[in-house]
Amino acid sequence: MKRVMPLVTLERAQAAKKTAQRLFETVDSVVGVGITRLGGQYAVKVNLSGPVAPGTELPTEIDGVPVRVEVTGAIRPR
Amino acid sequence: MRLESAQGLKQQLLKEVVEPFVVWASRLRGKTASTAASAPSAGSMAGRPIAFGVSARPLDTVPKIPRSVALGVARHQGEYKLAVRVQRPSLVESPLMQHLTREAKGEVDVRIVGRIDKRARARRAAPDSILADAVIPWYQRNTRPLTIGASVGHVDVTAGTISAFVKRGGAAYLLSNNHVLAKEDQARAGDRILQRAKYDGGRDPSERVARLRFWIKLKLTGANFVDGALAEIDKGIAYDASRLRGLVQGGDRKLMGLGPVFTDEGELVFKIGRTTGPTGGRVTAFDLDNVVVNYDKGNLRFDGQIEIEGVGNAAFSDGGDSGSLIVNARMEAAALLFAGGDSGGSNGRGLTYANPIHRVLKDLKATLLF
Repeated sequence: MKRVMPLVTLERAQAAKKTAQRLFETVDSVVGVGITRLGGQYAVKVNLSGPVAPGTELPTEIDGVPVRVEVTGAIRPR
Repeated sequence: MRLESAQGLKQQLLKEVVEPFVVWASRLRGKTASTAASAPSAGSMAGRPIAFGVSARPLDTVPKIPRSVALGVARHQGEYKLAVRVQRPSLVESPLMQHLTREAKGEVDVRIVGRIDKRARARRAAPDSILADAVIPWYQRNTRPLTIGASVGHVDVTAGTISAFVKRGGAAYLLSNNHVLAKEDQARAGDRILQRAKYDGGRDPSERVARLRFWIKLKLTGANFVDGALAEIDKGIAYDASRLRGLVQGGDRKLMGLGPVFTDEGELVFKIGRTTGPTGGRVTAFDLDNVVVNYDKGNLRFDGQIEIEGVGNAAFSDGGDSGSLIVNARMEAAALLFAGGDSGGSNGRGLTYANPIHRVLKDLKATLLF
């Protein structure tokens, strides 16, 4: 039988976001860690100002919550 | 097309369209005029708003020419095309680009080239009286009563946007960003606020409309939540707290009040801003912490922010849209636009960042008028 993945609740995503903030603390190019959705489920979003150095491993999932990494570039006041 | 055709078209468009636009977009700074001939060719662009972005910042830090458009000739497998190089993603969808594409019958090679840091000197601008009124959108003009979405700024700041109107104590204020009204904490209470802003030709004293009163200090250490400021509206200056002018498909809407505290991913939102006018967007993230924004005073961190991408093929915002009120599909206030970048988003046109409006109003001890 196919295993049904539990739905990622907002609370679980928020807990994973906290973990992500710790994990990504040393990555200088992080310019945002927040909540988004992937395939309808809540997920963690990590924004980077530029590509990470070769060899840097970024998590794709934290405690079962998917992580989406996006290069957003530098952010300026508008 | 053939090489000669591409070259000819390039010359023609440079002369007829691009040069006038550049001259015209850099007209501000109160310089008077040299030639009437530099006004944009009539008719072709009339009535279409132009999105020339300049971020809201102190006037003395701004280059002479706003980032814009360059033309050339590109070769593709033996065929020549009109090469268009734009320096902002928002220009890709601009009326100017649509015009160029039409003139070249679709044979264009468009690329975003980003900032090029060699400054050129523009010819002097045409005087206001010569600028075809129809071509400058209302949100960059002197607008009375004061209206949500219109150009505004501290007397020494380029241009930003009127967010909304609020009450604090017994008085009425206009809301925008600290970096629009309070010059990133460099201004003083009582300083003059112009509508339209200096960059749009606003004159001091005749276009004074308010005085800076309250703002949230921008902290260099620790998390910021709000880039906000209030300016007390001068006696005798009328304002319309509910009109959302031309917000959806050119039609007006009314601001219906405050939206819910929670804004979810995927929500459809709208704004009217001084540079890109009315646009639609979609929330791509919320509860966004560690947002690092490169202010003139340094890199500042913001927590609890909302992230938005433009719908379709357009950017949600560009420089000068700072301060825009973001409303949800029910026309309720959701957030205060303050920052953005040129990359990312599912259409590649960049992402916009905004402070949740509940936090803005709480920190500024204000209630929304509508």
